[in-house]
Amino acid sequence: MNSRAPHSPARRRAAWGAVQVGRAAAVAVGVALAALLLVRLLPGDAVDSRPGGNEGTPIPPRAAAEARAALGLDRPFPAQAIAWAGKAARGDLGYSLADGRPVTRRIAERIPATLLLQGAALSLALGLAVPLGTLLAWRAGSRVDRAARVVLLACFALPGFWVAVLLQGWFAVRWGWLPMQGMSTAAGAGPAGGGVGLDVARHLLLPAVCLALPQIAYVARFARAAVLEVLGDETVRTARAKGLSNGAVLRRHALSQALAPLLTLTGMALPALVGGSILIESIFSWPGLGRLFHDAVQQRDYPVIQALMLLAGGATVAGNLLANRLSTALDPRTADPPR
Amino acid sequence: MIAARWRTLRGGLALLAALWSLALLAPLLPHAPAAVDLATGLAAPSPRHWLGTDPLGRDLLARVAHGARASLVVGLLATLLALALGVPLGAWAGYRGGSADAVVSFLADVTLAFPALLLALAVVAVSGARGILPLAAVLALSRWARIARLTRGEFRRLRGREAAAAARAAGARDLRIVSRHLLPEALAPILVGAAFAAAAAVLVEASLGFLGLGVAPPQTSWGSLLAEARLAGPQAWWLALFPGLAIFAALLAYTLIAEGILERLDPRRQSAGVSA
Repeated sequence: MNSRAPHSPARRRAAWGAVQVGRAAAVAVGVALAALLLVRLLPGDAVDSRPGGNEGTPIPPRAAAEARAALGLDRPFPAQAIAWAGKAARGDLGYSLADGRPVTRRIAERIPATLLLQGAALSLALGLAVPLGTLLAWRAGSRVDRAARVVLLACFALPGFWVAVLLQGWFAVRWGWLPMQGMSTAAGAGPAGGGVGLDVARHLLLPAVCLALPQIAYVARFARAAVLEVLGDETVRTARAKGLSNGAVLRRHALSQALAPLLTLTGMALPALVGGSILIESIFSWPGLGRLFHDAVQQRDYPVIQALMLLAGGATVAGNLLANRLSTALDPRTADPPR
Repeated sequence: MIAARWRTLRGGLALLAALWSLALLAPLLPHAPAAVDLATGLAAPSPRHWLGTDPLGRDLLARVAHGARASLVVGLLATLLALALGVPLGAWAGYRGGSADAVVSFLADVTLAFPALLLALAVVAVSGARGILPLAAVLALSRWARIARLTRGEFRRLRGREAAAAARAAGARDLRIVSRHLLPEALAPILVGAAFAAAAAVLVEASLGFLGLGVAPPQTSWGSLLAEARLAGPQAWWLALFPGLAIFAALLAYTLIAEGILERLDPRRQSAGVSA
C-alpha cells in the first residue's frame, strides 16, 4: 500500500535492482581490465610481435622507440589503460596485426554468420528440448523417462567437436550429401538448383546440429526439472480441480511458469554467441567470430584476441543481467534480495 | 532401490578406473606409440593392431593409451589446482561475508565472464604454455571461480547453523570452525563441483590439443589424435572413432560420478546438470 515508506518491499526491490546493475557494470570494467592485462603479460609488446618484428630482422632500436611512442607504449600502464578505454568507448579497438584493418571492422563483418549459426542451433535445441523435457516431466518416473535420462546424460557428455569430425567426414567428405565447409557455394561452382537460401541452409545444417546436440541434453533436463517443479504447484492443482484437460493444464499453467527459468537459460546462452563456437566454426570453416578468434590465436593477433575477449566477457555480463531482469519481470518472487 | 541409487556413482568410478588403468598400463602394450612402420600404414583394426594404425603405421591403441596419460593427468591436476584455489577463497568469502565476499565474488564473476575455452586459448597463445603443468594451470584458471562460487554458497548457508554458533560460543577459532565443522558438511557439493570441473578440464584440454595448442609433440593427447584423424579422412574411420570415444568415456565417467553424488545427496532430485 504505502510504497514510499523507507523499507517498503518496492523500495527494497528497486534498490536491489540497482545493486545488480551496478555490480554488472563493475564486472564489465573488470572484464576490460583482464583483457588488457592479459596482453600486457606477454613477453614483448605489439612492436616486437609485429610482422617483421623480432622473428625476422630486428627493428632498429631508434625505430622501435619511435613506434612505441606512436602507440603510447612508453607511457605508464594506468595511462595506457585509460587511453585504451577512451578509444574503446569511441569504438576504436586498434588495428589487426594480421591484415592491418581496424579490429572493429573485422569483428563486425563476422557477426552475422555467428548470429545465424547460433540462432539456428538455439532454435533447434529449444524447439526439440522444451517439448521433450515437458513430456518427460509429465511422464516422470516412467520407463520412457528413465531411458531418456540415460540418453540425455550421454548426450551431455558428448564432445561436440568429435561429433563434428564424424559428421563432416561421413556426410560431407565420404558421401558428399552436404557441403563440407564455408557458408555458401562460390558462384558458378558446385551443384546448382535452389536459391541462395537453400544453399546457406545446406551449409548450416551440420554445424548447427553439432552445436545443438549438447544444448538439447542440457535444456531438456532443465525444462524437465522446471516443469516438474511447477506441476506440484498450487495453481496447477487448482487448474486440474477446475476440470481442465491435461493438455490445457500443461499449456496454460505449467509451461508459462516454467518459462522463467528457461529464459534465464537462454540469457546465459548469450556468451556462446562469441566463445562457444570456436571449435565448430573452425572445423566447418564457418566465417564467424569463433573462427576469427581461432585464426587470431594462431597468428598471435593480439588486438583481435583482446577485442574478442572484451566482447565475449561483455556478452556474458549483459546476458546474465538480462536473464536476471527477465526472470524478475516474469516471477516477482525472485525480485527480493537473497537473505 | 538403494543399490539402484549407487549404480550411477559406481558406473562412473568403474569407467574412470578403466581409463586410468589404460593410461598406467600404456608402457606394457606391445607397440610403442612412436614406432613408425610405413609398411602397415593405415591398417584397419586387426588382431595385430587392435585399434588399427595411423598413416605412419603407428599403433593407435598405444597412441590412445599414451594420450590418456596427458589428457587424464592434465584434467586431474587442473581440478586439484582449482580446488586448492577455489575452496579456501570460497569458504573465506562465504563465512566472512562483507568485503571478503565482495572481492572474491567480483574476481569469480570476472573470470566466469570468459568462456572457458576462449580464456584457455588466449592464455596459451599469450604465454606459450605447452607442458603438462602449465596447461593444467591454464585450465585451473577458469575452473577455480566455479568451485569458489559453489563453496561460497555452501558456507553462506552453513554459517548460520547451530553447530557453528555452538562452536563459536565454545571459543573455537574461525579456522577451526570452518575446517572442522563446516567443511565436512559442504564436502559432497564440492565433490560434485570437482567432478564437473574434471570433465570440463578434459574437454578443454582435448579442444586445445585438437586445435594444435595442447601438449607439445611427440607427446600425444586425445585431442591431437582427433586432429590427425581429420587429416587422414573418413575412410580410416578407426582414427576418428577411438580417440573420440576415449574423450567421451572420460567425460561420461566424470559426469556419472557427479550425478551419482547428487543422487545420494537428494534421491528425489534429478539435477538439471551443471554447465561444463
